[in-house]
Formats: sequence, C-alpha cells, structure tokens
Amino acid sequence: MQKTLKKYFPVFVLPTAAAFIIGFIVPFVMAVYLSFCSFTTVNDAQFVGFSNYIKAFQDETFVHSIGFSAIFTVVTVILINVLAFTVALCLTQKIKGTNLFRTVFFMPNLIGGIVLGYVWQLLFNGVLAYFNRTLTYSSVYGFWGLVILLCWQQVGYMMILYIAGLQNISSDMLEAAQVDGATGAQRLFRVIIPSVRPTIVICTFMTLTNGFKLFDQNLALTAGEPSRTTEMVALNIYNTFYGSTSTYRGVGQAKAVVFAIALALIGVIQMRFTAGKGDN
Amino acid sequence: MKRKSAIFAAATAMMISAIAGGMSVNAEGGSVYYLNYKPEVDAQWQELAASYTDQTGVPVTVVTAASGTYEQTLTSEIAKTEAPTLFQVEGESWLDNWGQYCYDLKGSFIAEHSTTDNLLSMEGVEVAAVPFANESYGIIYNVDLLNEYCELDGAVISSPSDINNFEVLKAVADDIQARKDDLGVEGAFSSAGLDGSSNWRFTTHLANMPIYWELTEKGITSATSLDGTYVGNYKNLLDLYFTDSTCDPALLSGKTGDDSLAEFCDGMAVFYQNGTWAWTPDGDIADLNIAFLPLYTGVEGEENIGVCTGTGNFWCINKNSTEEDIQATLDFLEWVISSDEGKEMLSGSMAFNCPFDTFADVELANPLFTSANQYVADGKTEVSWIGTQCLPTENWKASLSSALIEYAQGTSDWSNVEKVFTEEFASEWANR
Repeated sequence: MQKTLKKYFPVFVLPTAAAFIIGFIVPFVMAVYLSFCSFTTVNDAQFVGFSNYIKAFQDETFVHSIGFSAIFTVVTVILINVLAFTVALCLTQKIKGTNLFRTVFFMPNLIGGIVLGYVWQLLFNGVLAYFNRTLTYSSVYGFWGLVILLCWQQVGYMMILYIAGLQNISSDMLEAAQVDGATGAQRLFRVIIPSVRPTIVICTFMTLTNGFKLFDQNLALTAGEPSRTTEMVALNIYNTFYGSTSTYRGVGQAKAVVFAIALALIGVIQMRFTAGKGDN
Repeated sequence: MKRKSAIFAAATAMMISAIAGGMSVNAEGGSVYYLNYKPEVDAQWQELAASYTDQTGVPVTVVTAASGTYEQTLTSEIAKTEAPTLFQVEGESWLDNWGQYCYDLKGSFIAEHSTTDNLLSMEGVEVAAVPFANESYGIIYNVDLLNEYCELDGAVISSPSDINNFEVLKAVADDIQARKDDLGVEGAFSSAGLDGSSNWRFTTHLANMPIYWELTEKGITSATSLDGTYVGNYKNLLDLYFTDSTCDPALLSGKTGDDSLAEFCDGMAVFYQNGTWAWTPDGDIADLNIAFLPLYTGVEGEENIGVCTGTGNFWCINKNSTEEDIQATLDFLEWVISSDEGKEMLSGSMAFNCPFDTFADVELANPLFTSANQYVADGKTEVSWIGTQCLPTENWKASLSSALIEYAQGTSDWSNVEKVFTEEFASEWANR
C-alpha cells in the first residue's frame, strides 16, 4: 500500500499542484513584479522601481482606508464570534426545531455580497427615509450598516462551525462538572470554551480575514460615500487601479501587495495568539 | 525511478494538452472579435454577427462587457492570445491607455465615409479611432404634460418653445412644482439620482456646461486647469433639479437611474435630464411624446444654443491582431455601415445616429434626434462635448459625485463642488 502510494504520488498531487501554481503562485509572482511597473495590461509592463510604493503611502485615502478597515475588522470579529457562539450554544440545547433554526441562520451566507449590499441598502435607506436621511449622510451610518450586513451574513456560517465544536465536547466531562457542583458560568468558562478553542481559532481567523478583505458588500452598500470615508482597503485598491490613467495601475498593484503581505502577517500572528500555549 | 518520471511526464503531457485544447486555432481567412461597450444593444450585435457569418463564412464573435466595466474587461481581454480585433474608446482621453493598441485606420472605408471631423488621432497614428454613433443630451420633456401646463390658468408660458433661457425654465419649473397637484405630477423634474447608476448625468454630462462656457469664452478647446467662472451656473440648474423635484434632495444618494426614468415614463415628472440613448423602440419611453430642451444654466447668450451633441462611441482596431484578422474586421465594419441589413440594424433597433455618408438616406426613428436636429435647423449652435472630453479621470468624477451628494444632503456646502472644479481638476491632470 505504502509502495503504491509512493509510486502514484505524482499523479495524485499533480492536478492540485498545477491548479495551485496556475491559480495562485504565478499570479502572485506576477502581481509582485507588476507592483514595480507601469502598465495598462499585464503584457506591456515597464519597470519603474519603488515609485509605486512611495505613491501608495503618500495617498491619504489609502491610509484612511486601512484605519477604517482595521476598526471595522475588530468590531466584526468580536460581534460575529460572540453572536455565532451564543446562537450555537442555544441551538445545541435539547429544544425543538434546532435543525430548522440552523438552516435558517445559515441561509444568508448563500447570498452573494453584491446582492446583499443592494438589498440592505434598500432596507437601510427605507428606514432612514423616515428621518429624511440616507446611508451616505455620515460615515457612522455606513460603518454600522456594513457591520450589521456582515454580521447578518456570517453569523450563520460561524455558528455551524461552533456547533460542530460544541458537539465534540464529551458529555462525560460536562456531567462530571455538574456533579462536582460547577455553576453554569463556571461550566461555560472553565469547560466549554477551553474545549472549543480550536474552533475559536479557525472562526476568528476567518472573520478577521473576511473583515479585512471585504469588497463586494462595501462597493454595493456605500461605495465609499460620503466622500470616500467608508472606503475599505480592497475598494481603495480597486479605485486606484481603475480610477485614473495607467500610471496608477502600478500604484494599485503596490497597494495590493502591501495589503496581501499585511493580511498574511496579521493572520499568522492571530493564529499564534489564539492557539495559545495550551494546544500541543 | 524511471517509471515514476514516466508517469509524471505522462501526467504533465495530459495537463498541457488539456490546456492547449482549450485554445482554438484561427480560421485561415481571419476572424472578427468585437468587444462591445453597450449592453443595451448586445442582442442586436449578436444577430448582426450571426447573419454576417452566415453570408460570408467569416466567424464574428461579439462579447459585451457588463455595464460600467468596459475598461476592466478590455484590460483582461486585450492581454489574451485571442484578443479583441475591434474595441471601443470613449474619447481622446482613453488613447492614453489604449492608443498603443490602435491600428491606423487612415484610408479605411469607415474613415473615408465618416461625415464628422471628429476622427481621433495621436502621435504616429493618423486615424486611431472613428466615431460610429452620435448622441445628444439635454433636458427631455414630456410634450403632452408641458402643453397641459401651458393651458392652466396663469401659466408662465403659452407654449414649450417659449422656454429659451434659464430664467424662463426656472419660472416654469417653480410654477409646475407649486401646482403639481393641478397637473397630476409629483414634481417638475424626475429625481436627480446621485447613486452610482446614473450620477454620470451630472458628473459628466451636466459638468460639460460650465467647462464648455469657460473654454468657449477663452477660445480654446481643451484645458488642464479651470478658473471655474461658470460653476455658479452649474449650481443654478442643479438647484432647480434638487428643489423642483419628485424627491427630497436629502434622499437623492439612494435614487437610481431606473427610478428617475420610471418617474418620467409614469408621468410623475415633466422634465428629465438624459440623452438620446434613453429612448429605445421597445421601452416605456417610446409611448411618450418627448422632445429636448437645451441645458440652460443662466449664461448670457444661451438663447442661441441647442442641445449637447457629440460622441462617446469610437471604433478602434487592435493593431496587434494578425493581418488576416485586421482585414476581416475592416471588411466586417464596411458591411455593417454599407449593407442595408447593417444600416437597418444600427439606425433601427439600435437607434444610433451614425455619422457616415452611407446613412444619408436613413430616417431616424428616435424623436430625440429629430428634436436635436430641429435646434440645428433653427440656427442654434450645437453644444460640443469639449467639456466632458477634458475631464481628467474617473476619480475626478467620483469626487464631484461625492461633493454633490454632500451638498444635496446638507452635510457640506457648495464650496466643495467649486474646489473639485478648480483645485482638484488641476491636480488630477497634474498627477495623470
């Protein structure tokens, strides 16, 4: 068996490896190269050195979008995970209709970001119209609009992951805690939460990167209005790339490379931090 | 070990042939690949292409970019091995990015038969782009409703033709707004939606006016900085759109182009700023009796202007295509503008006003063209698109849109809009 596996190893690995190389490695290397170039299409690039990176950081809107994205991510990571965990906890109790609720809560996740953005824009503007305002009135409206939208979309998905985690906790352990006289809070904080730590790591990682990378919902819901104050990093990169002449495509590319590296770093740090010393 | 590498090689070969299999080989006689800009006429182009292929055997592929994503699509398509042989640009400013792909159309059938002096050229390329559809824009009005208003007691005017400057337009609009219930409308103007779907009506089309007047006054045709002398006039008309409207100005950022068109078609408003493209033979608007008013903004001597006429539709041929493909594309275009079938499709169901002498015998179905031509026949000066053609970047338009939204909802004042026209206009040009 071992021998056969070894023999056919390339056949099994090649399709995925090829897809990974074509779909990820090559574009990433090209992206890094293009960030040092001035270009209209990927075929006509001319090397210009670091000037794209300098222009990227001189751009106030880019710096603002990083700050906006960071605050947004912190708020959504906390809200989504707390809400998802709470709902998961409720739906793992022995109550009727849990399967129906799980399905219903999961469903928003199946709708595309652009559609969600426009639907929520109608909803928010419909409500705000009573106060003679719209989402573009202030960046605060746009911010909370995005937070509500993303929570609505992602709580269900994270809930499913938390339910899987919660169902893995052995009932012996919970019963033992109960017999030993642990209160509800003690059981939650001393037994349940430490047991679902691996799930928390995964869920925070996913919500963190989703928050930072958010694009569709941002484009459809606020498009950065008022005056680019609700523009997040991905939308800022897009606007840089297509909003001006080809001179700025390289700048957009440089921003994208900075963004990718920063996101990877944050992801790694977060994994280290939440995984903690307890695990393995 | 040998066997392992043999398996590896076989698998690699399979992958490569699978990838290569996806690419088709060019037909010997060349083929045409048109990347179309206008989604609203996609079906017509597909039909025309299929018919041409039936008659000549030359394969014609038409791909249409989704609304508002033309440059993005062009960026990725033109980098491919099977790149478009025929693509579009909006005007001179697009040649900065795309001029390097333009085949010199000098002496070609489409250039020879063009009736405009608006062929685009650039360094080293005498004819880089040929316009194929003229368009006009202004204030479209519902003729029946406006006539109805004229019959009301104490109406400010007795006939729509009395509106010949901003002062009269404002008096009429204010009066209609005040007596909207008598007339059964909800406002004089349909909502001036500042949402991304139609903000170009104000950030591109209406923005032409202050720049047009300034350049005309200075006697020049392009500029990279503005004094903003006529930005106040731009405000005049916008204020009218905002106040005499179906919609509270604070809510405009949530109004779409469809909202505005629907209000106009449902008879909820008398006036609607848009262009000839708003009329389609099978749209609701075709049931209305409509005509144009020029964009009056309160400039001295504006009684003598007609509507804004120009073009944002140019054909370019990709010079990196093979010789056969270039020839096939040229032949296709010749057929499109000279055959009865092509002409009928372009001027009929696409409702284009084509500036080629081959179209001299064609009657236009679109009443807005008739109205635009009437102003010319009456000796009025067509307002050219020199203003829109010297707008610096998409970013500038986005800035103007943001400033308008904030002005409309009352979170900032008009000075921001002025700044966009003066400071930002110059800085965007400087940073290009």
